[in-house]
Amino acid sequence: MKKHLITIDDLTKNEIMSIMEQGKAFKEILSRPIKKIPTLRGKTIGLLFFEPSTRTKLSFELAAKRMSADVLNFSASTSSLKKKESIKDTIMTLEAMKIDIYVVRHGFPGVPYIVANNIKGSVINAGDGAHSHPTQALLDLYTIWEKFGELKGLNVTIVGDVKYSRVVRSDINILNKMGANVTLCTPKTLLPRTIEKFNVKYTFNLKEAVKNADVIIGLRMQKERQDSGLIPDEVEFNHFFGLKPEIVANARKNVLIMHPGPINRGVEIDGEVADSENSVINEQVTNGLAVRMSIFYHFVEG
Amino acid sequence: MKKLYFKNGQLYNGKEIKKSDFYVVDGKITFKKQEKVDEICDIKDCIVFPSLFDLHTHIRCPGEEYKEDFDSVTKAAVHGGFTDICSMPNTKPTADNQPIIDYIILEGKRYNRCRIHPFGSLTVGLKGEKLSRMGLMKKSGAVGVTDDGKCIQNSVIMIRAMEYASTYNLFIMDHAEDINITGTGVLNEGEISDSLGLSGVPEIAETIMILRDIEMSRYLDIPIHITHVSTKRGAEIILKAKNEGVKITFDVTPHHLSFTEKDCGSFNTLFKVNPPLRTESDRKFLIKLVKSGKVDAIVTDHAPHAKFEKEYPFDQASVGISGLDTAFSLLYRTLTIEEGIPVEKWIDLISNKPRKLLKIKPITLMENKKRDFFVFNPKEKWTVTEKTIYSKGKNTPLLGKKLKGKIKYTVFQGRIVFRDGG
Repeated sequence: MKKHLITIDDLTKNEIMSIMEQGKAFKEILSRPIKKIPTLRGKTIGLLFFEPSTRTKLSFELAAKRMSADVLNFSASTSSLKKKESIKDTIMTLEAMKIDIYVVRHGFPGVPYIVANNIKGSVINAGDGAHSHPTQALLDLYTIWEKFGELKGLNVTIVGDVKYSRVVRSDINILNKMGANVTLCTPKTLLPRTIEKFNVKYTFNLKEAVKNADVIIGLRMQKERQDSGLIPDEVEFNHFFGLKPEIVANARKNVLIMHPGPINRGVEIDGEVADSENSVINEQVTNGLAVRMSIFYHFVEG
Repeated sequence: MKKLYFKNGQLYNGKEIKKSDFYVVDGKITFKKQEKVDEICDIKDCIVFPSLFDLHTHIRCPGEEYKEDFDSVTKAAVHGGFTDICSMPNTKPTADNQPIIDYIILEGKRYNRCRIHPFGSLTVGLKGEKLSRMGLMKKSGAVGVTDDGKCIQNSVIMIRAMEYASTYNLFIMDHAEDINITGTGVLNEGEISDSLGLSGVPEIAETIMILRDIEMSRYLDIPIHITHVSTKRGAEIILKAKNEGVKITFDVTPHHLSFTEKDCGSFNTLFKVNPPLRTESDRKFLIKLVKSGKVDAIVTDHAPHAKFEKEYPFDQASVGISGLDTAFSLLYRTLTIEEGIPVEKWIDLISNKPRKLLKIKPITLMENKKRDFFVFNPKEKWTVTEKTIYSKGKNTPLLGKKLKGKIKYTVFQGRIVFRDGG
C-alpha cells in the first residue's frame, strides 16, 4: 500500500479489493450496539478542510472517532483562501503537532500533493477542486460491489456536471480499473473537450444513456454553472438531463440509483427517483463511513 | 580601457565559425597582434558569438524589486550572453509615461553591464482604455509599445492605439489573447487539463486574437509583431498572412520550443506560463519553423517571481518562467543537441534579427568594429541551481537539471561584464 491516497491511480486492483473486504468488516461493526474499536488509539488524524464540507467531513471525523483516533480539526474560511494563504506555512505548523494522517479537502486541484511534499505522515485526499475524490469513488464502488458482487461488465451511467466534477474523474478511474462500462450523459458545455481520451462512452440523450444500466449515478448541478453561462437554467437542465421515473424505466429492473449528495430535487433528480426502492443514496452515507474506516486502517498500516 | 586577448577560440563572423585569436582594444575588435595586453583569456573549445538581444524581458522594476531589480536583471542578462534587453511595461507603476522610461534607462546605465531598451504601454495602466503618452515615451527612448500580458480586448481601442503608435513610428508588439476565452484557464486545454481538473486555455484564445491583429494590420497598413506564439495554428495563420503581404512578424520562446503541457502533469507550477505550454505537435511545428528560417525572433519572456509565489496551488501560482540565465543553453540543448540545427542557423533569431526588427544596427564580429559579444563553450556542462542563476527569480523548470554548453565571458562596450567563475 502506498503512503498517500491522492488519486485512484495510487491503488492497485488488489488494494482496492482489500479496502472493499475490510470495509465490509467495518460495516458489520457499525451495526453493533458498541461501535467503537481501538485500532487507531494514540494516532492523530488532522482534518484539513480548506473548502466548506458537511458530509465528507462528518464522515471522516466519525470514521476516525469510531477507530479511537484523536481528531484535529482545521477549517479555513473562504476568505483566507482569497488572501492566498500559504498552504506550506499552514502545513508546517500542523506538522509540528505530529499528525499521522492528514485528510485534505481543497478547492484547487493538486493541493494534496503540496501537503504530501511537506509532511512525514500520510495524506488522504478528501477532494481537490475538480481533480480527484478517491474516497467517494471507493465508497461508490463499495456500494455497487456490495449489491452486485461482480464489477466486471456492469453498465454504469453517470449523469450531470462531468467537466467540473472530481467525483466523476475518480469514479471513471475506479470503474474502468475494475472492468465496468461507463457511459456519461451531459450537455456538451459540461463535457471535457478531450472526452475521447477518457475511455468511456457518452451521449447527449439520457434515455439512450440509461438503457441497460445496472447503476445510474446522478451528480449535483452547481448553481455556479448557470451563472457562468454553461447551461441556461435548472428547468431546461431537468427537462433533458433530470433523472425521472419514466427515464429510469429504461434501465435494468434492479438498477441502483446513486448520488454523492447533497441532491437537488427537481433538478438532476426527481424526488420520486431519489426516494424509490432502487435508490441507495442514504446507504452510500453508511458505506462511506465503513469505507473511510477501511482506508484509515490501510493507510495507517502502510 | 583594458586590452583584452582572446586566444585558442573560434569566432562566428556572421557567415561561418572560424578559428581565430583576436584582441579587444578601445572596445574594438582587432586581429592585429598587440603588445602588452592587460588580460589573456584562453578560450579553447569556445565559440565567440555576437551578443544576444532579448525583445521581451519582464524586469519587474520599478515596483516589484522583491522579484527582480536592476542589479539582478542586468547580471542575469550578461550571464546569459545578452547585452541588450527590452523591458516590458508591466512595472509598478506602469511604464505608460516618460518619467518611468527615463528612470529605466538611467538605472540601466547605472549598472552599465548591458543596455535596457524600454517598451512603453499602449494604454494607461495597461487597462485597455486610454492611450499612453507614446510620443513622449518615444522621445525619452522607448523602442516600442505593447500591452503585453493584458492584450487590449476592445478592438476599436486597439485600432486607435496602433494608428497612434504609428504616428511616432513605434514598434508595436501584441500578446495575442482573448481573455474571455482564457477565463480561469491555467494551462493548455487538453488531456492534461481535463485529467487534472484544471481549467484549460484553448488554442483559439490565441488564434482568434492573431486573426484580429492580422486584419487590423492589413486594414491600417501598420506593421504588428505577435510575441510568444505558442500554437501551430497561430503560426500557420501568421505565415499565410505574411504570404499575402501583411506586415506581420512573430517570435517564439525557448520554453515553448522545449516543453509541453505534459510537463504540467504533476502540478509542477514552474511550468505554468502564459501562453501555456502546448502539445508536442505544436512544439515540433515551431521547431520546424525555426529550422526553415520562418520565425522572426526568439524571445525569453523572462518572468522572474519570488519562490513563494510558485508554491501556491497551480491555480493561484504566479505565471512565468525566469529565462535570461538559461535561454541560450536551453536553446542549444533543444535546437542543436536534440534537433541537430547548428547554432549559426538560429543564433540570429535571438541576436541580430530582433535588432533589425527595432532598426538597431546588427553586430558582425569583424576587424575594427566596436562590438559586443559573448564566449560560449559548447562542451562544458553546468547544473542549474538557485546559486548558478543570477536572476532573483529562481523559477525555472531547469532547476536541478544539467545543461551542456556554458557561457564563459560576455563583453559589453569593450569590458568583460560577465566571466564564468569570476
